[in-house]
Amino acid sequence: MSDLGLTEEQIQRYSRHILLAEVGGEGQQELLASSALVVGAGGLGSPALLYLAAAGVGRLGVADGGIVELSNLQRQIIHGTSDVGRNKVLSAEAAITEINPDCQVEVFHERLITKNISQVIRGYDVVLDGSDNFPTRFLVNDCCWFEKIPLVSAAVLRFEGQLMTVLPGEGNPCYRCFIPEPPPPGLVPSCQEAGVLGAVVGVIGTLQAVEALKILLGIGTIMSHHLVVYDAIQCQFARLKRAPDPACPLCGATRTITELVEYDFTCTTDMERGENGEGITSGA
Amino acid sequence: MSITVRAGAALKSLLGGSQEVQIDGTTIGEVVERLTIRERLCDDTGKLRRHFNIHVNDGEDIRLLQGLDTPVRDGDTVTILSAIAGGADVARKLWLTFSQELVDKPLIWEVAQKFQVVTNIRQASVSKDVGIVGLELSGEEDEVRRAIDFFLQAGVSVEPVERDVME
Repeated sequence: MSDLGLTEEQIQRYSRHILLAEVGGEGQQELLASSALVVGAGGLGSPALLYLAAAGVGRLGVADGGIVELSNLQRQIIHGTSDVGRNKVLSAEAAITEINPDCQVEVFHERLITKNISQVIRGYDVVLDGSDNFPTRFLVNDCCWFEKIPLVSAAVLRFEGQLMTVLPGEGNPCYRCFIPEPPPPGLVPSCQEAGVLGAVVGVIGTLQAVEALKILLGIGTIMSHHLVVYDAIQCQFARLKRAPDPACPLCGATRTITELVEYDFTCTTDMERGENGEGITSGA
Repeated sequence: MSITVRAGAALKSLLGGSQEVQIDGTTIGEVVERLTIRERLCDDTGKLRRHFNIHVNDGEDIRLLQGLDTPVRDGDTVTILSAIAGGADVARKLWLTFSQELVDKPLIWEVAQKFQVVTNIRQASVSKDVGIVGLELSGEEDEVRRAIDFFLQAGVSVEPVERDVME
């Protein structure tokens, strides 16, 4: 052990972090002593997990109930061709361990629901949401709010990405301040028609990792009062202001949500709804 | 008074397929009116539907300002957004026709057991000679496809539902 409290091998491994004034040996030790939970080992979770592992976050949780499909590999870069058919969390665990044995991995091969989410989330320093549906997003937001854990939430559709951080506590807007309830089913358009460019998910998942590392290190400006919108076609980043919504059902003055609530999974297709549906759909 | 209106990826159809249009107006309400999409953005009482967010330049959601009365000026950019969720789940609505020799087999139950799909019977007419079932299958695309293949291999005839049949 050196004066930095790091082994010789760790000093070499993390030397490019240690060189940064904002990180240094102390910051690196903080990362090694910190924990992060990634919800969804998919398009966003893949790059996020890879970078958090490489950065030396000491304890990494991965929650995903799915298995690796061939159609995932275009964007879910933590998984490889030989992983098809395997549990996503186990495939991710193998990749993380290969990158950095300093990382202790905890896997949750289950869909997060009201019954299990609190036990899974509790004790993590930060949560990254890269899930693929609104019910999970609302559940993760609410649970992080109740458990007072910072949340980095992101989503991607076609060529567009969105990212925001929710810091629990008065004065900070939550995810429900942005969208209070899941959109009505009729306005959820075709998930088949909505593709996504893999690399765009990579950009946003990597941004999530950066944001999480900043939170763990206590540095920089956190996107707790902004929504970042990335338009890959124009190569444009917009940073739109967010503020607490006094009418928010979770954190507003007249809050109505005081415990975890579960929403149904809904997804309709354009086939029966007509062609030009606006709305909210899938991609990551 | 030229305002640039931008829509998020999920809303391109609001702007006739383009992601950006120029429009005149002095308030968000006027801009929305001229986009001729008011009824899609707003509910019957004229309020902005809650799952849309509108920002002027890099500012806050107009709900926290003056709503549709929020003023806009020449050169402003108005961004209309909706939340997106990610994922690649699909839902397919299918007509399944079970012939006489298949009509008493619990194939829909088998599909729900074998594959990670949600089965939802929306319409059905079953006699001892033939069964016709309107079934919605949802789940990950590959899983839904495998479930459909299973029906086909079992000898069930599978056809996609034309729009509006079951709604």
